[in-house]
Amino acid sequence: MLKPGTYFMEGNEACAEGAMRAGLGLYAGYPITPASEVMNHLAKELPKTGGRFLQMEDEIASIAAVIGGAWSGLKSMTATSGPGFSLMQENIGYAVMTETPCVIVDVQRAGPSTGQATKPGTGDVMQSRFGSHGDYEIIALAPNSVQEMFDFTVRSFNLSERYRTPVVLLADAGVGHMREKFTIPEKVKTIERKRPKEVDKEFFDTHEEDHVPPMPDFGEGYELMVTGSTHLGDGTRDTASFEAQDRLVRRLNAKINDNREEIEDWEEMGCNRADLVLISYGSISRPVKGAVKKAREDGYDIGFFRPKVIWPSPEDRMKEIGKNSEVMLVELSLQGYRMEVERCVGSENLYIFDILNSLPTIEQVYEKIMEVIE
Amino acid sequence: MIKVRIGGWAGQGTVLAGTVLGRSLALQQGYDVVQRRSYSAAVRSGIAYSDIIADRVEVNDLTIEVPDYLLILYQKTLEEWDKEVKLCENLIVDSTRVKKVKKTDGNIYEVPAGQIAEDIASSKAANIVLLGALARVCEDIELEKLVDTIKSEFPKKYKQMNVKAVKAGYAYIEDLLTKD
Repeated sequence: MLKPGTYFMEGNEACAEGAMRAGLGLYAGYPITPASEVMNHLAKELPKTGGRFLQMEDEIASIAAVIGGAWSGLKSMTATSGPGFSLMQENIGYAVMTETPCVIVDVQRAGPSTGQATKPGTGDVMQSRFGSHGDYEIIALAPNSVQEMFDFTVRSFNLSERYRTPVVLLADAGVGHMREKFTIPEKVKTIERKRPKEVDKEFFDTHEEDHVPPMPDFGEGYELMVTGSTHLGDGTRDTASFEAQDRLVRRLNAKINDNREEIEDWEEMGCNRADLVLISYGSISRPVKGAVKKAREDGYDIGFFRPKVIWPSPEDRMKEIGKNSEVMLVELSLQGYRMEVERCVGSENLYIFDILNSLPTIEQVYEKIMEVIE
Repeated sequence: MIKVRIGGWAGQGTVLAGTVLGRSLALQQGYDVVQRRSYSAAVRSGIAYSDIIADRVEVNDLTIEVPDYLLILYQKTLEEWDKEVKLCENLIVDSTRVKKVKKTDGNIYEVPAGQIAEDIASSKAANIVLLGALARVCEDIELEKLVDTIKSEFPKKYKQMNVKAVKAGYAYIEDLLTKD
């Protein structure tokens, strides 16, 4: 683990450093381009911090080991890309249902299927939200710099511990394979999961306002049953009653929905009643921001909006923007975030600039802006 | 803004050279730097290159269309890149491996980097020789800072060889320019 200071490293390496600073105890994964550097770096560095590193036989086993690690009291993580992320979906749902804090890093590449392993894409945005079956909410963060690969990894762990839920760090090959300066601060703020008091018997229900029950470790002495089937507060299965399903699933969703304000995060510039607001996220948002700055310098009333937390989406703010401005969504995929943005701003005043395989230059985005406003 | 592309074939160290340059500009010279790499999904072989964009303000342009400085270590890579080669301001090639150079609008520097590197220790250091040449062609890049970066980053075994390589590349262009 690196000492506090400023370094010039790759996004994936910064992610690994962020994980160790957040208190990573177990990494289990299977290598895949363009995410492998997270694993390479942790294979070397994590054992030195006392953490455990496991190379698994595939991605299904990886996410399963991560969930097991979390229940033995460790902060756990895996990293993958699209094909591996697809394999993990069933167990991500299991982590949601069992309220298992863990971090899944998806360094997105151009898909579908094996697609183009070394090229960036953001075609997994909807999968990160809806990829597993059943009704659930998820938290996903989209970094656009090496510094954010570090910062957002730390925040992913904090959110997962705070809300006892899996969190997806939705990076892309652009930011994962990019080298930049980044700073590891002297102090990194970390959050630890809520622990039970000796008298507690319910680890899967709560009447607390945040909807988050306390979580014991396996082997700690509590009577503990963890199941993906619908369960009561004490963990026992109830696969038939209306009350059990209704109470559990509504609470799991409320954990995220009722705490949106604390979770949401975005960056914006000149969005109030601008003629046109560009919405973008991930690595491609960098040239988009550059183009908006240039247009503003040239006297155009153009805004820039970037969700840092992509799920839950900053829907109220996007709706407000949609009421007052035309919107252009710029992303590295055809579908990416489109349905969500369209839901918030409406399809009538929405323009799309989708680009596959590579990042556009500032000039290319600028030209698109001019096409729309002139 | 400084825009550099270092291109060659997989295994020639284009990404390593780009990292040395990027790290030197970022940490030693105080630039805001973005370095990106591109390689094909092939297990071995294929064009590989590294882009370095450095500026005194925040860098948001992450893509180089036409580099100011284009370094090429392999003939086939040169042949693949029509627009970049024709329009770049400065083309620096390893003439040990790049024998036929197309006409361009800018300056051409032919440096026998492979040979120079082999004379020092190993032709593997051709990438670093070319980096030294770049430091002489581009006034904003400081040779001493590159040397410092190499000294602090390379494993002990390879330090001396690469310090010599970067200085030799610089000296080659220095000689070339003095002769003119």
